[in-house]
Amino acid sequence: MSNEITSELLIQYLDNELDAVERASVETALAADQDLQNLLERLKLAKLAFSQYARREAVAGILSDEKKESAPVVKINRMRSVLRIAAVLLVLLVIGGIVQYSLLDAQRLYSAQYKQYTLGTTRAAESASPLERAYRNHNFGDVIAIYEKNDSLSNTDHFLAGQAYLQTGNATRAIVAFENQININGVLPFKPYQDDAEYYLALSYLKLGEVSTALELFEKINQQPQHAYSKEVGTWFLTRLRWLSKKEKN
Amino acid sequence: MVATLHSDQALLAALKTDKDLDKAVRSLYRQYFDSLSIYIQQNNGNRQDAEDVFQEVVVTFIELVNQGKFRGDCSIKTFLYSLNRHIWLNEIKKRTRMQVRNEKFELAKEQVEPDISAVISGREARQQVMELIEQLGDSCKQVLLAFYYQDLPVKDMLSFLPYENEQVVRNKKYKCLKKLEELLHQDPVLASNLKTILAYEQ
Repeated sequence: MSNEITSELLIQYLDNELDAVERASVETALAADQDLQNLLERLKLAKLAFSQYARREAVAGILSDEKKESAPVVKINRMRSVLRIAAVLLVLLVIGGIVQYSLLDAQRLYSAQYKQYTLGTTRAAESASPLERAYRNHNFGDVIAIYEKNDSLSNTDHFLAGQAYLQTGNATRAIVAFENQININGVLPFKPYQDDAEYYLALSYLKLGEVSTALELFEKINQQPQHAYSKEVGTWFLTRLRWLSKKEKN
Repeated sequence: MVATLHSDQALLAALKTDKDLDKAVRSLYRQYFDSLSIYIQQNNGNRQDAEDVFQEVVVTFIELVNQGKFRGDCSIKTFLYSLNRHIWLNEIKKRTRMQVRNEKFELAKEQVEPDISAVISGREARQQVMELIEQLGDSCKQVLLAFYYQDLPVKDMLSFLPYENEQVVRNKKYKCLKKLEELLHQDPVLASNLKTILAYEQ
């Protein structure tokens, strides 16, 4: 390798930092020295390699910044989407609520809630009273006839008569029968059909259109977790009943 | 926030000048990352793989644009999809060496233009060079960046480099480039591979 030409001079040559005389001197030396040519090639390679490295680092830095900056935008966009969906659901809910509210009436609510009462099979048929046998046979007219003719009635008879009145659409008489049964139960240590009577009494008031009284009775049932009908009196049913109560007051 | 360059012409023009590189790279990310990422994630990759591959896609694309090898025969979008797929299949091949994936790779490789394929195949050598440059240390990288990437006047470098005068900065540059040259000289195989890639790219 030429003694006069240093690596430093070659780098200056590579970086165009030499004047014309110096450049010519380097080129003369290069032409005569293969080792010097090899060194220049390696320096050129190093310079090019570094340029590539620099660009790669620059791109990595820009992408890293862009990811950081765009992340909140993505989150905001996601949040916007969630809010948009929530808004649509809210609108649908409001529309549904308005429809429900406008269609709400006591009879509709009663029909949705009422289920015919079915007696259990705890007693043999022969030991059952005539009224009870008639009820089991779904002869609700006979139940009412027996009930209205008979003066000595058990609380069970009152209860079944109440059911028969409801079944035949006479809510006023059903209320009387259920209240009789509840009154009798009040003095008994064992209170047959108590929860059933309370629930069907409330239903009877609803059927009659006395929504406030019905609401009061249903709320009592709902507030007693141990009540046999507490689950029947659900939140959605009570909500509609409250709407109906307000609607009727307005 | 940096404005997005929407047209292919605007993007290509920006990629050719390093001062607009920031805007161009951000535009590429905003316009294409999500869709390229889906391909990776549908083909056994995860989000991190998608980000790594996207960086390779962008670097390779910039190199090809600067070398005039992106001739505009197709849209940037199509071209980036092709690069993305090829780089990812290459990565899968490296990771698994499974016969089925090799076949897929070979199939995909045939579909990529030979020019692009040659640039991508140099990735491994380039990666090794990156590791070599890391060995130079931060002070060397900082000086070489200022000279060979930012292309700053030496007197401007004095404002952020911890050196007394311009001559000291120049001396530092000589030492650092010489050090890199020596590292390459110590690894003739790597130097040869890199030479092949760079010779091809010139």
